[in-house]
Amino acid sequence: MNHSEELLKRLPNDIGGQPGAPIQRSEHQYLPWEKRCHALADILDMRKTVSTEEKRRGVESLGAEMIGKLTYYERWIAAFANILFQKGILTPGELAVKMDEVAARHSRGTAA
Amino acid sequence: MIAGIVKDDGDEPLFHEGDKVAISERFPVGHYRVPHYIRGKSALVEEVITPPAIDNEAEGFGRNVGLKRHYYRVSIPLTELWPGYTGSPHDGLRIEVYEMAGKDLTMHPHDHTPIVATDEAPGYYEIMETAVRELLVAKQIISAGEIRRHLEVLDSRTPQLGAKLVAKAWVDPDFKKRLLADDRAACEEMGISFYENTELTVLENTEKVHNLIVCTLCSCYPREVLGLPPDWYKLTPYRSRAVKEPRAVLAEFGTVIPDNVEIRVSDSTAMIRYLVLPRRPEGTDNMTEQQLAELVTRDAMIGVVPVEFQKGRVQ
Repeated sequence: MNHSEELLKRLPNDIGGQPGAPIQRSEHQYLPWEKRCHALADILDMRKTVSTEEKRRGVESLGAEMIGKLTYYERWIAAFANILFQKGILTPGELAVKMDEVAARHSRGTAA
Repeated sequence: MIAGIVKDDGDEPLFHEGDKVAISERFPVGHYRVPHYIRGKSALVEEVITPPAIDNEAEGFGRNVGLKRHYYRVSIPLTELWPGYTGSPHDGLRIEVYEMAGKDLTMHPHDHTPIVATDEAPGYYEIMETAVRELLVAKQIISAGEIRRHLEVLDSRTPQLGAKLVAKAWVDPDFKKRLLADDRAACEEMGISFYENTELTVLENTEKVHNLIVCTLCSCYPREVLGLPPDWYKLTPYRSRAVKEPRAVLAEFGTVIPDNVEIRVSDSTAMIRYLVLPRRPEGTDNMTEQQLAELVTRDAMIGVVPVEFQKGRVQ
């Protein structure tokens, strides 16, 4: 089997049995925004606005590089944004403006 | 010109030839047709392209809503795009950029005021989380109250719950039977509700079988009784190796299982969540249910370590 076929047959999250590094028993205290992201995921699933399975598909479709480089909840929120765009619940522009607004709460303008 | 004609939103261009604009950096995720290398750069509007046309970014999500806005042909000096550009300062790029609806402009009027972040500025993804949540609340798809309440639910789920189940199963054979037969009912008997639409299966470790749980595809975990999983459970090394070389993985946790004991790895991929019922350690016959529960660790209920008891530690 050539390498490109393998890419179709085994998606980036499908890693059972693949070679892996030694286990680092890493842990971190969940950050408040990570917990909020988890709560958001559960509520969206309960309401079936975005089900858990859709979220998994959304994370998978971020592709191998993003899956490799983003942290767990970074992948979730990026996947949610994309799925909500796909469903027409949010638009990219709307999110962009809101993100600017949220960022501005924590910053101040100074004249150049 | 006939008086009294009201123009539709989008009929009139927001920008005009000769306007100095800045290309928006507002493209968090999604599908876009404004390439990364021009975002945040100053540009000059050279031409308003008429008539208005569809939003090609919305089209990418299957929404052929017919919303029409103007495109602009803009010029950007290569020295603006590429700091240290060594060609002529007259060299430039031409590109067409869409004017997004309302305030969400792909381009916005040029503004030299820099935004200076404060020390506690949240990161990009935290901003995205807050923005998504607030937009969904504003659209009444979710409520802020239910997020707050669910955070309390999540905080209330810790490995102490699982430890109570294990200790009760050790001291109460009837409860153990119920726990192994209908795990969810036995948990509900203890007051543990199931907020995820999942089933729980308790896997009993015996003299002959040692259970280990993993989710190779994602991070399925018995959150109702153990809380949120540790990082290592969700990271690649554990997920990839646990199903192929469980003994080597266990050894990295300091756990050695004799060859005559079967290691049974359970990979959670559907609606079933697994909890390992570890073996009760020797020398604990006189301990109370509560004392026993204190011995039971999260990792023992994942199956990567046994429950340890050192004689003399608990009287």
